[in-house]
Amino acid sequence: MTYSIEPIEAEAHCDGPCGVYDPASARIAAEAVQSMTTKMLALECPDTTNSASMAAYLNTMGRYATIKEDEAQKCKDELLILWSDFFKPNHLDSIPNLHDIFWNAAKLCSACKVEVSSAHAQELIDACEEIHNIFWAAKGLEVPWIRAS
Amino acid sequence: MLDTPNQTCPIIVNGDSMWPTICDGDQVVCEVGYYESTKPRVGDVVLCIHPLKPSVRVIKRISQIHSGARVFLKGDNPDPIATTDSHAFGLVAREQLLGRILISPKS
Repeated sequence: MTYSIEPIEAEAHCDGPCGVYDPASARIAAEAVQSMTTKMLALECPDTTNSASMAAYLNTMGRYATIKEDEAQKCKDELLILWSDFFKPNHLDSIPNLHDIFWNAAKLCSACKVEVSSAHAQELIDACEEIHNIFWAAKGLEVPWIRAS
Repeated sequence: MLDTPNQTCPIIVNGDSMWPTICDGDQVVCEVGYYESTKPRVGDVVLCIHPLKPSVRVIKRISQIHSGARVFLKGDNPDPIATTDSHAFGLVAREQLLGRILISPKS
Protein backbone atom coordinates (compact mmCIF):
# COMPACT_ATOMS: atom_id res chain seq x y z
CA MET A 1 0.00 0.00 0.00
CA THR A 2 1.33 3.47 -0.79
CA TYR A 3 0.43 6.71 0.87
CA SER A 4 0.39 10.27 -0.31
CA ILE A 5 1.48 11.46 3.11
CA GLU A 6 4.84 10.96 4.75
CA PRO A 7 4.93 8.56 7.70
CA ILE A 8 5.31 9.96 11.18
CA GLU A 9 7.21 8.30 14.02
CA ALA A 10 5.91 6.71 17.20
CA GLU A 11 7.84 5.29 20.13
CA ALA A 12 7.65 1.72 21.35
CA HIS A 13 10.53 1.44 23.75
CA CYS A 14 11.56 1.65 27.35
CA ASP A 15 12.00 5.03 29.07
CA GLY A 16 14.05 3.51 31.89
CA PRO A 17 17.50 4.72 32.85
CA CYS A 18 19.13 2.13 30.65
CA GLY A 19 20.91 2.30 27.36
CA VAL A 20 24.57 2.49 28.33
CA TYR A 21 25.97 -1.01 28.27
CA ASP A 22 29.43 -2.26 27.37
CA PRO A 23 30.91 -5.72 27.93
CA ALA A 24 34.29 -4.06 28.48
CA SER A 25 33.57 -3.83 32.20
CA ALA A 26 33.24 -7.62 32.44
CA ARG A 27 36.31 -8.12 30.27
CA ILE A 28 38.50 -5.90 32.47
CA ALA A 29 37.36 -7.75 35.59
CA ALA A 30 38.00 -11.11 33.93
CA GLU A 31 41.49 -9.97 32.97
CA ALA A 32 42.14 -9.03 36.60
CA VAL A 33 40.98 -12.50 37.67
CA GLN A 34 43.38 -14.09 35.22
CA SER A 35 46.21 -11.82 36.32
CA MET A 36 45.69 -12.62 40.01
CA THR A 37 45.43 -16.33 39.25
CA THR A 38 48.74 -16.19 37.42
CA LYS A 39 50.39 -14.29 40.26
CA MET A 40 49.07 -16.70 42.89
CA LEU A 41 50.38 -19.70 41.01
CA ALA A 42 53.77 -18.04 40.49
CA LEU A 43 54.25 -16.83 44.06
CA GLU A 44 56.94 -18.92 45.69
CA CYS A 45 56.49 -20.10 49.22
CA PRO A 46 59.41 -18.90 51.40
CA ASP A 47 61.20 -20.68 54.21
CA THR A 48 58.36 -21.42 56.58
CA THR A 49 60.63 -20.91 59.59
CA ASN A 50 61.30 -17.32 58.59
CA SER A 51 58.43 -15.47 60.17
CA ALA A 52 59.03 -12.19 58.36
CA SER A 53 59.15 -13.88 54.97
CA MET A 54 56.08 -15.96 55.78
CA ALA A 55 54.17 -12.87 56.89
CA ALA A 56 55.02 -11.09 53.65
CA TYR A 57 54.11 -14.18 51.63
CA LEU A 58 50.78 -14.68 53.36
CA ASN A 59 49.99 -10.99 53.07
CA THR A 60 50.72 -10.97 49.34
CA MET A 61 48.85 -14.21 48.73
CA GLY A 62 45.92 -12.89 50.75
CA ARG A 63 45.82 -9.68 48.73
CA TYR A 64 45.92 -11.61 45.46
CA ALA A 65 43.10 -13.87 46.63
CA THR A 66 41.00 -10.93 47.77
CA ILE A 67 41.43 -9.12 44.47
CA LYS A 68 40.66 -12.31 42.53
CA GLU A 69 37.52 -12.83 44.61
CA ASP A 70 36.35 -9.24 44.20
CA GLU A 71 37.05 -9.05 40.47
CA ALA A 72 35.34 -12.39 39.79
CA GLN A 73 32.24 -11.12 41.58
CA LYS A 74 32.46 -7.84 39.67
CA CYS A 75 32.71 -9.77 36.41
CA LYS A 76 29.64 -11.81 37.35
CA ASP A 77 27.70 -8.65 38.25
CA GLU A 78 28.56 -7.00 34.95
CA LEU A 79 27.61 -10.11 32.98
CA LEU A 80 24.29 -10.43 34.77
CA ILE A 81 23.45 -6.81 33.97
CA LEU A 82 24.06 -7.45 30.29
CA TRP A 83 22.04 -10.66 30.43
CA SER A 84 19.01 -9.32 32.29
CA ASP A 85 18.90 -5.71 31.11
CA PHE A 86 20.53 -5.32 27.70
CA PHE A 87 19.44 -8.55 26.04
CA LYS A 88 15.74 -8.87 25.26
CA PRO A 89 13.59 -11.82 24.21
CA ASN A 90 13.86 -10.79 20.57
CA HIS A 91 17.63 -11.42 20.70
CA LEU A 92 16.90 -15.12 21.15
CA ASP A 93 15.88 -15.26 17.50
CA SER A 94 19.47 -14.66 16.40
CA ILE A 95 21.21 -16.01 19.53
CA PRO A 96 19.22 -19.09 20.55
CA ASN A 97 21.93 -20.20 23.03
CA LEU A 98 22.05 -16.78 24.73
CA HIS A 99 21.03 -18.11 28.15
CA ASP A 100 23.56 -20.93 28.06
CA ILE A 101 26.33 -18.50 27.14
CA PHE A 102 25.62 -16.29 30.16
CA TRP A 103 24.89 -19.19 32.51
CA ASN A 104 28.23 -20.78 31.71
CA ALA A 105 30.06 -17.46 31.97
CA ALA A 106 28.53 -16.77 35.39
CA LYS A 107 29.51 -20.25 36.56
CA LEU A 108 33.07 -19.64 35.39
CA CYS A 109 33.14 -16.53 37.58
CA SER A 110 32.19 -18.72 40.53
CA ALA A 111 34.75 -21.36 39.61
CA CYS A 112 37.47 -18.70 39.46
CA LYS A 113 36.54 -17.61 42.96
CA VAL A 114 36.64 -21.13 44.37
CA GLU A 115 39.80 -22.27 42.60
CA VAL A 116 43.20 -21.01 41.55
CA SER A 117 42.85 -22.36 38.02
CA SER A 118 44.60 -20.85 35.04
CA ALA A 119 42.41 -23.04 32.80
CA HIS A 120 39.16 -21.65 34.18
CA ALA A 121 40.56 -18.12 34.17
CA GLN A 122 41.27 -18.47 30.45
CA GLU A 123 37.82 -19.99 29.86
CA LEU A 124 36.31 -16.93 31.56
CA ILE A 125 38.27 -14.66 29.23
CA ASP A 126 37.03 -16.71 26.27
CA ALA A 127 33.44 -16.46 27.53
CA CYS A 128 33.78 -12.69 27.83
CA GLU A 129 35.09 -12.55 24.27
CA GLU A 130 32.08 -14.51 23.03
CA ILE A 131 29.75 -12.15 24.90
CA HIS A 132 31.65 -9.17 23.47
CA ASN A 133 31.01 -10.55 19.99
CA ILE A 134 27.29 -11.26 20.43
CA PHE A 135 26.74 -7.94 22.21
CA TRP A 136 28.21 -5.80 19.44
CA ALA A 137 26.61 -7.95 16.76
CA ALA A 138 23.24 -7.33 18.43
CA LYS A 139 23.93 -3.60 18.21
CA GLY A 140 24.93 -3.95 14.56
CA LEU A 141 28.47 -2.73 15.15
CA GLU A 142 31.88 -4.22 14.49
CA VAL A 143 34.02 -3.67 17.57
CA PRO A 144 37.31 -5.55 17.79
CA TRP A 145 38.14 -7.60 20.87
CA ILE A 146 41.05 -5.90 22.61
CA ARG A 147 42.67 -6.89 25.88
CA ALA A 148 44.14 -4.45 28.35
CA SER A 149 46.74 -6.94 29.58
CA MET B 1 -2.43 14.92 9.82
CA LEU B 2 -3.33 13.31 13.15
CA ASP B 3 -5.94 16.03 13.58
CA THR B 4 -7.90 14.68 10.66
CA PRO B 5 -10.25 11.87 11.71
CA ASN B 6 -11.19 8.96 9.50
CA GLN B 7 -7.88 9.03 7.72
CA THR B 8 -5.21 6.36 7.60
CA CYS B 9 -1.69 7.44 8.40
CA PRO B 10 1.57 5.50 8.05
CA ILE B 11 3.59 5.24 11.25
CA ILE B 12 7.23 4.23 11.64
CA VAL B 13 7.79 2.47 14.96
CA ASN B 14 10.94 3.02 17.04
CA GLY B 15 11.74 0.38 19.64
CA ASP B 16 11.01 -3.21 20.55
CA SER B 17 8.31 -2.87 23.18
CA MET B 18 5.70 -4.29 20.79
CA TRP B 19 7.89 -7.20 19.69
CA PRO B 20 7.07 -9.73 18.29
CA THR B 21 3.94 -8.06 16.86
CA ILE B 22 5.78 -4.96 15.68
CA CYS B 23 9.56 -4.78 15.37
CA ASP B 24 11.86 -1.78 15.58
CA GLY B 25 11.68 0.11 12.29
CA ASP B 26 8.44 -1.48 11.10
CA GLN B 27 5.89 0.69 9.34
CA VAL B 28 2.28 0.29 10.40
CA VAL B 29 -0.96 2.05 9.59
CA CYS B 30 -3.05 4.08 12.01
CA GLU B 31 -6.76 4.71 11.64
CA VAL B 32 -6.81 8.27 12.94
CA GLY B 33 -9.76 9.21 15.10
CA TYR B 34 -11.05 5.65 15.26
CA TYR B 35 -12.01 5.97 18.93
CA GLU B 36 -14.08 9.08 18.41
CA SER B 37 -16.87 6.84 17.21
CA THR B 38 -15.87 3.41 18.49
CA LYS B 39 -15.27 2.20 22.03
CA PRO B 40 -11.77 0.90 22.79
CA ARG B 41 -11.55 -2.87 23.09
CA VAL B 42 -9.13 -5.10 24.94
CA GLY B 43 -6.56 -6.30 22.45
CA ASP B 44 -6.56 -3.21 20.26
CA VAL B 45 -3.14 -1.80 19.41
CA VAL B 46 -3.34 1.96 19.69
CA LEU B 47 -1.42 5.12 18.95
CA CYS B 48 -1.64 7.53 21.84
CA ILE B 49 -0.03 10.54 23.42
CA HIS B 50 2.47 9.65 26.13
CA PRO B 51 0.65 10.76 29.32
CA LEU B 52 3.82 12.19 30.84
CA LYS B 53 5.44 13.47 27.65
CA PRO B 54 2.84 15.24 25.52
CA SER B 55 5.19 15.61 22.57
CA VAL B 56 5.76 11.84 22.34
CA ARG B 57 3.46 9.40 20.58
CA VAL B 58 3.55 5.78 21.70
CA ILE B 59 2.17 2.51 20.41
CA LYS B 60 0.87 -0.04 22.93
CA ARG B 61 -1.87 -2.63 23.31
CA ILE B 62 -4.99 -2.20 25.43
CA SER B 63 -4.92 -4.90 28.12
CA GLN B 64 -7.70 -3.63 30.40
CA ILE B 65 -10.54 -1.12 30.28
CA HIS B 66 -11.41 0.71 33.47
CA SER B 67 -14.25 2.95 34.50
CA GLY B 68 -14.45 6.29 32.79
CA ALA B 69 -13.24 4.77 29.53
CA ARG B 70 -9.65 4.81 30.78
CA VAL B 71 -7.44 2.04 29.43
CA PHE B 72 -4.43 0.15 30.72
CA LEU B 73 -1.79 -0.11 28.02
CA LYS B 74 0.96 -2.72 27.78
CA GLY B 75 3.73 -3.57 25.39
CA ASP B 76 3.68 -6.99 23.77
CA ASN B 77 7.33 -7.65 24.65
CA PRO B 78 7.33 -10.08 27.60
CA ASP B 79 10.46 -8.46 29.01
CA PRO B 80 9.19 -5.99 31.65
CA ILE B 81 12.16 -3.69 31.12
CA ALA B 82 11.67 -3.56 27.36
CA THR B 83 8.54 -1.44 27.61
CA THR B 84 7.34 1.66 29.34
CA ASP B 85 3.58 1.42 29.58
CA SER B 86 0.70 1.85 32.03
CA HIS B 87 2.79 0.10 34.68
CA ALA B 88 4.82 3.31 34.62
CA PHE B 89 2.54 6.07 33.33
CA GLY B 90 -0.81 4.81 34.59
CA LEU B 91 -4.20 4.63 32.94
CA VAL B 92 -4.78 6.53 29.72
CA ALA B 93 -7.95 8.44 28.95
CA ARG B 94 -9.83 7.59 25.77
CA GLU B 95 -9.31 11.16 24.56
CA GLN B 96 -5.57 10.52 24.44
CA LEU B 97 -5.99 7.65 21.99
CA LEU B 98 -5.13 9.08 18.59
CA GLY B 99 -6.13 6.03 16.63
CA ARG B 100 -6.13 2.30 16.13
CA ILE B 101 -3.18 0.50 14.59
CA LEU B 102 -3.92 -1.96 11.84
CA ILE B 103 -1.84 -5.08 12.29
CA SER B 104 -1.11 -7.15 9.23
CA PRO B 105 0.11 -10.73 9.64
CA LYS B 106 3.85 -11.10 9.27
CA SER B 107 4.95 -13.01 6.23
